[in-house]
Amino acid sequence: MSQQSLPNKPLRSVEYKIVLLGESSVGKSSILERLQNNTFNEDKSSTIGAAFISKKIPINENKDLINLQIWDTAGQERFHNLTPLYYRNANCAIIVFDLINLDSFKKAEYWIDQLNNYIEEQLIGIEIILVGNKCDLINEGEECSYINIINEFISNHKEIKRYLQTSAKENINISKLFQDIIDNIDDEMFHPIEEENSKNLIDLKFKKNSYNSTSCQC
Amino acid sequence: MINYIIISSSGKPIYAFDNNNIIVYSAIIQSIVSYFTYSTSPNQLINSIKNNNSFINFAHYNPFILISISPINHHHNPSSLSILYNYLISLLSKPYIDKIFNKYPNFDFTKLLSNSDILTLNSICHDLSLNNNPIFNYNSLQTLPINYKIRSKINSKFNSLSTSNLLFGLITTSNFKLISILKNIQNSNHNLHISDLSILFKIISSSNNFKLNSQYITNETFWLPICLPKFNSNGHLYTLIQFVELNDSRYQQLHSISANNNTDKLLIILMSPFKDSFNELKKISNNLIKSLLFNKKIFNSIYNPLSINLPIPSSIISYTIKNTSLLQFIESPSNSSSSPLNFKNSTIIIENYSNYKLFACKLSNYEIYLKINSSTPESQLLPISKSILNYCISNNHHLFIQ
Repeated sequence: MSQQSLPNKPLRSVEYKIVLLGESSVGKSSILERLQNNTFNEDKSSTIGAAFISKKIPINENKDLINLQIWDTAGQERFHNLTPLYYRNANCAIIVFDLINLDSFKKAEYWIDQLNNYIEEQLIGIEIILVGNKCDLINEGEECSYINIINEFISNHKEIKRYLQTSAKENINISKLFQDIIDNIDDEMFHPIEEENSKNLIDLKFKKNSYNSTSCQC
Repeated sequence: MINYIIISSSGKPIYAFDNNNIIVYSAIIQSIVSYFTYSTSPNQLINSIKNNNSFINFAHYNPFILISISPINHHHNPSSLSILYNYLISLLSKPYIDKIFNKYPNFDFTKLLSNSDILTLNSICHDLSLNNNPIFNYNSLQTLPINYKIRSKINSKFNSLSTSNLLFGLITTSNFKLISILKNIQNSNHNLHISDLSILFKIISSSNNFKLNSQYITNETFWLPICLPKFNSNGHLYTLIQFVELNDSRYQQLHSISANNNTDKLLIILMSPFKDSFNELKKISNNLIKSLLFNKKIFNSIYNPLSINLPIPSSIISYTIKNTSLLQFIESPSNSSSSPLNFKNSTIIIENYSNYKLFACKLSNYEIYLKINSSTPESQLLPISKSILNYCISNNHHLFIQ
């Protein structure tokens, strides 16, 4: 992430809500850690409850401001009854699975079914992005061992807007994942920022230690 | 070192602090407990076994059997097994656990434990085994000494931001020194219990999930459903957890104060009975943080807390002073929390070790624990304690939260 300061007076803004869903230990939090700090923690503990991250991203020469509001959910089953809270009102759901764990893909299918039911009930649109993480664990020149199952599932589920293979560990496609989301935010979702609100913006997010930015422009 | 073992009532292994031979232990423990359960009168359950080397303590809280195996002369925290049991309840609530085990008595509980949960269990057992967690040892919370007028200001700000969906709120430092506490219910029977908070603090501190020790400043806010067994073992409270970095040169410039490493982070904890109240609590938290960071007197009083100038000679290695009516304590910066002394029926205790003595006494509403050089004459200990008492009484409103 490059550390851009907030524009003095962005003219338009959008609140864009993203939820990460998927089986435990597939790397949801690691994807977000790569997005936030450009780091990877091999010893990351499993998420308990959920974590909310808000990230302000100026675009279009700082004229527009995207306020990403991201929910990182726990994959463990005992937290599942809370998960609808997090995808309620979401604009985008990133469903993550582990490319070397077929069971985690079955869980991804489960979450896509849950989302479809919710979308059908509420008549709303949620952009669904499927992410196969840990691609660094697949030998070079080889494919995921259950690639056919993935391809068949994707061809039968047209609601999946994009499918990406990523590695939070090796920083592969993480910036692309979020850059694509940002690039695809509908222009109509932006609304003018009132003068007063613009003045009241306080940015308390900053980095403590410097690191070399290698990822996306968010 | 003490070993702690948890199995289900049907004998399925759940957890062992020292993981060796848990399967063998599980079968033996279950056989012993079952023997006493089924072959003696109903209220004659086994409590403990003692041999020449070790002391084995049993607790049967259906559907769990918990045991500790400690060396014979080890100071054993009598609440240790109930602390572990309460932690298991905090994960899922009592009705949920009962429902599972009523349906499947052979249920493998390990399926519900994540690696974060195991880390927390390890950390609790580690603290209990070494007696190095003062909250467990003294069953009270540590406070951050702050001028009482500033603390009143913080409390009133906290109160003014409160809404009906906020049940409890705490502001602490990152090492859980209490700055302010908010109780937003009229019913005096509903209180936050120390043992519940000690579990919450262990959950926050023992895994890297909450990024307590992250080198990066994080703006994550956590939303954690937790059952507080002493408050209500039947349900969950939904808890917002947010850390705020204080070591930021911008605040130092803003308030014209010098860099200092006394208080590095603030921790905001807000609890609601409603799972969908995150946004409401987040708003409270944001406003609270602004009012703490941008008020010079408040910021400075937290960033550079009052120093405790106890009238003690240099022979005192460390001290802990507990206000027994408020269940709060302060301790010396260099405290290496040692074994809690058990008063039983006495009011003064002295224990001699090779290089030091431990002294504890009860005076008025205070318990004073001192670690002292072996050479200190015992006749000096009570006068020292009385002068500590006088200091605490005259500074009570700064040291403790009323």
